[in-house]
Amino acid sequence: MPTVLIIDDDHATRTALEMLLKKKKFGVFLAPDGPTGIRLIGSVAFDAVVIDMFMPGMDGIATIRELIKIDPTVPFVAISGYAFTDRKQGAPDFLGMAIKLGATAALQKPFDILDLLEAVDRALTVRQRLLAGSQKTGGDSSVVRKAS
Amino acid sequence: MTKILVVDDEVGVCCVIQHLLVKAGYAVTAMTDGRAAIEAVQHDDYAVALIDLNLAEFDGNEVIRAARLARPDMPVVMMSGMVLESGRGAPDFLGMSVKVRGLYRLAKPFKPKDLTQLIAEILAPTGASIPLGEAPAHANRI
Repeated sequence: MPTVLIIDDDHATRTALEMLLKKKKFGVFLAPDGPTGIRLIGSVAFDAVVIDMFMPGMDGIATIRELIKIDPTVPFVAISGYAFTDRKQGAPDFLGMAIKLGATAALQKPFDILDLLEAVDRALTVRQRLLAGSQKTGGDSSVVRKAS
Repeated sequence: MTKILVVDDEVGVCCVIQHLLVKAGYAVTAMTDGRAAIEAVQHDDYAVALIDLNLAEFDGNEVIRAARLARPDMPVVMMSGMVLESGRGAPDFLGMSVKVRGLYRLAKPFKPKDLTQLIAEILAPTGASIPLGEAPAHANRI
């Protein structure tokens, strides 16, 4: 059973995603903030991580940076309740930042359930590919991510 | 039902391990406090204990020592994330390169499957006839 970690400070979102993914037979684990999520990622190798971009304390980008340091093979999906590319109001391009950091998808809330499932499926495919590549390169996963 | 003790100072990590092991059919007692874990081992009979080496307020090694003193026949799985700190290679678990009976290791971050597989192998019926410490082929025994 693939395992997915959801890092989101919004309880309602965590619960909704948990129900949705559990229904699709995923093993789902929850973290209410970035530091908690990072500690979990440091202990358990999840197959995919869903990360909210806007969280108090450690935001999504900082969480992603830490995640990559710990396990560069973990694919992640960025989600956010804010417009990602509202440059007129001076908001940073979080979509671009997340993608540049290696997100397999970036979704703006409210997003379609099917889009999230597709994003998670894509993340799992990436995970399998990275792990297969990692075995070929003798386990140096950081090299694999750079090459992908 | 087979009882397993989990000791990790991270509540979230305890919850994840507990969830995975309960789903695999084990009864799990999870603790974040080293002293409470020592008391638990002394008073209750667990089939296996998983103990994190880097407990916040208590040395995991102390818990392991106390556990092995109280229950010499209880297999102990040492968990460690030291590989993250060193950033390279597998942790040598404080230089413990010698083989120790009934002592196993689980490097963090571990795959859920690795956790359940290790526990299953330690508790495998065939293993009962094997002297404690003679690990199954795939177990990460020290």
